[in-house]
Amino acid sequence: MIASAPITLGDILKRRIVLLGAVLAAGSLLSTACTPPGQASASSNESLIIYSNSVSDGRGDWLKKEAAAAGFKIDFVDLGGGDVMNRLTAEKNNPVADVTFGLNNVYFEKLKAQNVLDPYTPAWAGDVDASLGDQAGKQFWPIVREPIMLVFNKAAYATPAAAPQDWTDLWTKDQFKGKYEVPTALGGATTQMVLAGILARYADPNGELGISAEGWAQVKAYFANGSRAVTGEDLYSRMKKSQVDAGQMWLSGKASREKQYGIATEAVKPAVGVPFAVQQVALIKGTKKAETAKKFIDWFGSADVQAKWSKQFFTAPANNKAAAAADAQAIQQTAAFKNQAIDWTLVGKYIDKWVEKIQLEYLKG
Amino acid sequence: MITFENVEIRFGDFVALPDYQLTVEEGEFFTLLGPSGCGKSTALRALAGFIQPSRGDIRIGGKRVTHLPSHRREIGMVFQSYALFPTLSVWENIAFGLKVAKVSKAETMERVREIAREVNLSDEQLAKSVTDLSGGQQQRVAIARALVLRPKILLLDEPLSNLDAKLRHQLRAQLKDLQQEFGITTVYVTHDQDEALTMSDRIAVMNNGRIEQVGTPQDVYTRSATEFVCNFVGDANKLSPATVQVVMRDGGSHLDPARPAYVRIEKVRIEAADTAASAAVPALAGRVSSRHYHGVYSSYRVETDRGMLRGILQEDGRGGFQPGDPVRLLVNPDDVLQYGVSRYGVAS
Amino acid sequence: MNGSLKQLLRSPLFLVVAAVLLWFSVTFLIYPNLTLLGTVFMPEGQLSFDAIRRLMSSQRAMESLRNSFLLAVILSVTVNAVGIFIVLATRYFDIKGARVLWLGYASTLIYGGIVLVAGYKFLYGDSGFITRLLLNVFPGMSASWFTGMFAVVFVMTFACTGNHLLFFGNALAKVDFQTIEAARMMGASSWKVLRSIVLPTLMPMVYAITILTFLGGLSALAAPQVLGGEDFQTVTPMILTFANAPSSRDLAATLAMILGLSTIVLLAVMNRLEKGGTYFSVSKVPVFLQKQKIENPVANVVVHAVAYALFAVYALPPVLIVIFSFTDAASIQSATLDPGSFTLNNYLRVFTDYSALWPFLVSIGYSAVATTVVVFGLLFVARLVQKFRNPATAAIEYILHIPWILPSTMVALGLIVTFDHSEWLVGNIVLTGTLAILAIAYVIGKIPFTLRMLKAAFAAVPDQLEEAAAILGAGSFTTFRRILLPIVAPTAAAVAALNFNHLLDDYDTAVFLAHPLYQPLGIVIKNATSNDTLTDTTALTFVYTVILMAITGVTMWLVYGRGAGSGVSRRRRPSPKATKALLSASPEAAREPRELAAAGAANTLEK
Ligand SMILES: Nc1ncnc2c1ncn2[C@@H]1O[C@H](COP(=O)(O)OP(=O)(O)O)[C@@H](O)[C@H]1O
Ligand SMILES: [Mg+2]
Repeated sequence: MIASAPITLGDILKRRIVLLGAVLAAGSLLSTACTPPGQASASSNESLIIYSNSVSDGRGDWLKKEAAAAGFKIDFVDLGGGDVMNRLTAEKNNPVADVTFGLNNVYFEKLKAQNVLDPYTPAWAGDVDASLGDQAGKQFWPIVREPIMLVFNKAAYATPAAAPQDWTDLWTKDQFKGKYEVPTALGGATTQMVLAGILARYADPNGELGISAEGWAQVKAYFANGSRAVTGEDLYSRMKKSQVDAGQMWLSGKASREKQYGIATEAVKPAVGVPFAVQQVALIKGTKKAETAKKFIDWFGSADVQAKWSKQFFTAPANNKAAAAADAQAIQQTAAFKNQAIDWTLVGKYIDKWVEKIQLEYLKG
Repeated sequence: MITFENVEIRFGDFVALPDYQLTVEEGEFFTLLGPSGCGKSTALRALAGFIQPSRGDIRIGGKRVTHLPSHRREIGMVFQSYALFPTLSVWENIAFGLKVAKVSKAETMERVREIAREVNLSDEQLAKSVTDLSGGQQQRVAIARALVLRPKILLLDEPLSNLDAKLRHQLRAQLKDLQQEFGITTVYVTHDQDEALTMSDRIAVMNNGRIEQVGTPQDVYTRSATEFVCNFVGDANKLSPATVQVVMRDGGSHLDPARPAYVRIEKVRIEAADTAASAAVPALAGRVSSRHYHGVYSSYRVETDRGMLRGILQEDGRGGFQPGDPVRLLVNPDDVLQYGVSRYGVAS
Repeated sequence: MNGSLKQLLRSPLFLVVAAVLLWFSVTFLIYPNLTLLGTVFMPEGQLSFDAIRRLMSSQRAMESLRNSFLLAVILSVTVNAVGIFIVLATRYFDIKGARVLWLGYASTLIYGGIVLVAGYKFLYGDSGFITRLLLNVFPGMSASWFTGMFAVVFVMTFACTGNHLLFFGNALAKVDFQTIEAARMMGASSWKVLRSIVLPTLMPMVYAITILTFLGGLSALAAPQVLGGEDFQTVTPMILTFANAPSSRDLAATLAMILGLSTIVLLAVMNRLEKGGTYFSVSKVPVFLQKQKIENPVANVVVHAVAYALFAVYALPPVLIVIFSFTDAASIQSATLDPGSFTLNNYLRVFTDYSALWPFLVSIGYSAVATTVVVFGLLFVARLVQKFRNPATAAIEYILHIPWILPSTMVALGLIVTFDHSEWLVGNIVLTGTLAILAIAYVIGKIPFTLRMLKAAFAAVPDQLEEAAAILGAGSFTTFRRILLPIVAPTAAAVAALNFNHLLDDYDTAVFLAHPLYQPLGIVIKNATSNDTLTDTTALTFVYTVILMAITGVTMWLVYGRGAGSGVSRRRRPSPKATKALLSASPEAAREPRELAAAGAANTLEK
């Protein structure tokens, strides 16, 4: 009698609700039943978690493979420079990460100030110029030196002399105005280095935020005459379409992008030099795998690994012993840049305020 | 026996029942009759325990139940909207109370079947969802659900108002039969005087939170205690003082033209103007101004020189009167209902 | 039955609910936000409003604010125009192919945010199909024509008509058809009937949706960020930026509070407007709507043409996303279709590579858990505040609405600053770095919407049902479980589905709180669509988008699909019961808009 009853709308609804309930329940189970990739094996407590802004473009996958060969199980958390900072700071009382690398010295100074790092002297400490890292506390150590450059599309200028010769040319000479890309998000490591490179030229203890009025006028002009970066579109893609002819880039990024977009670019070599980002590596305070983490740092910064890394990703290792086996081109190109004299203490103290001021007052749109 | 003793019900500042006093006898079919908003439902809901009186007491069978929760008052209730549980089947609706009371499966089966038979619900209907039933069927489910717990008292709040006219008439008789069969004390709420008069043992006519009259249907109809009851129950002509003076002429010395006076329309006799005058009854001369045909009877409006009066005549196939016909109206002074000076200020 | 405090104290179930509720409110709604406001506005223990000064002196901030309000105003007009048109075209006028049209228009119900904007950009951007087409006709035109206010308004106009489809369509279906017949008999033209009979009855709904639209425009994120260019940036991207820089968080909080205050003001205005006039169906025998023929042949052709043109605008981006999800990165980059570039590899990769599938599992897991918790928990809470109306429950209700005033970014920050050290309120556990904290944030974010909807659903249940149950001997818990829950279940399911869909591609909250090994989809998609990445993830993003649309589509179908009274299928069999399941479950047309506006505010603020 009940079986013969026609299916009513109520029944359909009821079934739907039951189905939805089942979906939700199944979904809820997922979160407990599944483990993240790479965490499934029994040795998972010895698997290291590494936060880095320098594992994109295939770097992470490569390193993972190499590390596995050396007996390390690692998982990367691939985040932008600002996000790595914020996360490490937020998690400092319950750290998830064991090691972090890739951020530059300015960020690491902040991490140190926030008590996020543990001092550790790696086995290769003697092979690097310690002044590139944490001079006082031995909390972070240099791995890669990288010039932060102004690159331009070679095709856009008839002769090298017609191209800009320094950042300041971009907004002072009419032919470049509107033809260079300026960033819209100022949280990135590269961008902040560029800003530091411009502003530090106008250090003035009496000026606003340590910078003279002249300096602020320059930055204002930089943004006012630039072409905004387009969310979701790479500088090289825009250069290829001739929407812009110049913009900021780091050394290894230049190499990989030239290949990918098939355009030839060249880096400007200003007389004052360019800012060098020195990527660092450090141990996270409170990690439960300190021993493994230390071994990893010893391995990662070693001459052998750094040389391979250099070959693979066109970097200049900070480890002096790696130089011989590293990518000669990368070292040579890095060495070709003059290291701009920058008061890093000033930068560390004010960079956040600079960024905020620029965002409020000079950024377009 | 149910008694309300000086019960006062308030909603915030608003006093819905100022001082309610009422007695309902065992086994009685008792009706609360009154216009919408007069407080009928409020009284019923107080009895059911949904509203707490701010003063006074309610007793059932002598026992004070004023603060007893609803389900311990041994009451069954049929709501105006029936309040059937839309997500349960007919069977589950009827069995709900039994299930809550943890009655055994077998007994539940038995009792639901039995009550379903009483209210004429087929097995097939029992399996349906209540939303698939017609209004009349839903009403029967509501009654079955109320009765299956074998309450001592059945409360019905306008249970027929959502049905169409024909069904309403049928169900009146069925409800009454059911009540008599179970012998259950029933309190019935309605604003429909026809329903009240045909079904009740006794009626309480309510107005503005007060009871105007309690009595049998005959009492209430023929001896309406107040002007309000007279107006609300049945259909009455209000007589002008001049008319009363005419009516008084023969044997009506107890009447007072200064006070409001009414006569039920069926008590007004309409005769052709040329009929030999009956000496006993004072007559008014007038002309038919309109006629409404009702099948069994027709109702007439007659314009007299002392005001307009309405009356009815059985349809006997002889055609009755037409508008414009001269007629004579006869009113027996004993049929005139008179009240104290009207509170509505229309007394002349 | 209006419960008193005394009754509440007598019911053990509600006592437990009240206790949990109190703990949750204090721990996760009041304390973290106070802590955040404290750290932001009293950095050195001293109240400082320097943020306001800095903002006032920033031309860019002021312009962004102005743009946000401007966008909100413009969208209020354009979204209503398009939204009302598409609902009328599919459900009121007799338009050929209305079913198909409806499906196209409904595409915005299953995808949104950054993905939707990317889809439009794919079509109208520098190398998009439409742009190339236009360039053929007007060779002198700039390829980057699709930018600035026009582009933002264009995309958002179409993106925001979902409310019309869901709510306006539902209200239209409830219009008493007899009033239309009556007007017709008196000789009114179809235009006259529409303008003076149909639309006026729907005005409360239009007000409500307008408020939603306004708030949506105010808090727009993805569209201005991607398409705004230098002339049309708005305030929400700015809030996100400042929130990311610890030293600028006071700016973020201040801007967020400006938006929050606007929301409150708007809701107040809304309530006022609503009091002015509500329309009930006075008919005892409502007759369901029949499609109206447009008699004027010219008008008929024009309406058909516009309907199909809009269909193209709506349907093209998702269709292209689906097609291109089967191609490689190069095809996507250049937006060109070459038969040779079709491949199943993208899908194979997602379904065979655990690490590519992982973000999906994470997102589904989080969305399901958060949705289940918030809907289940609030079923009790909504009942509590609806049944026991006293100052205590009123206060709790206000507190539960806090997530409307603070955008999700701020809520996330509050949780971080409060629970990055051990707190006795949560058993001395450090919540940052745990899996739980993101789930908590999701639950918090979904509270206002869920509460409003469920409360309305409970309020719509006639009191008499409870009384009937009580007189039959059922206690408050039995009544709740056996009578009320089944009745509100359809609403709860609808709310759950909407919550689930909305959380699936969340980015704003996850970026702060997600466990690094459990990164949900939103982060992955966002990373893939931002600069600085090699293009091999582009194709993957398209696949993610398509799968997302599929999941969202299925959930929507489960609650709104055929037989559940949505769309054009209702023509055959009116199903009042199913209509009730549509969100508000309210029998009173009047209540719906208010709940909707309130609920929508929550939704849009989170976007
Ligand atoms: N819950 C309530 N709150 C406030 N006023 C009420 C409530 N219930 C009924 N009333 C008022 O009490 C009066 C009597 O109502 P009611 O008993 O429902 O009348 P009826 O005789 O039509 O059943 C009406 O004026 C009504 O407005
Ligand atoms: Mg009533």
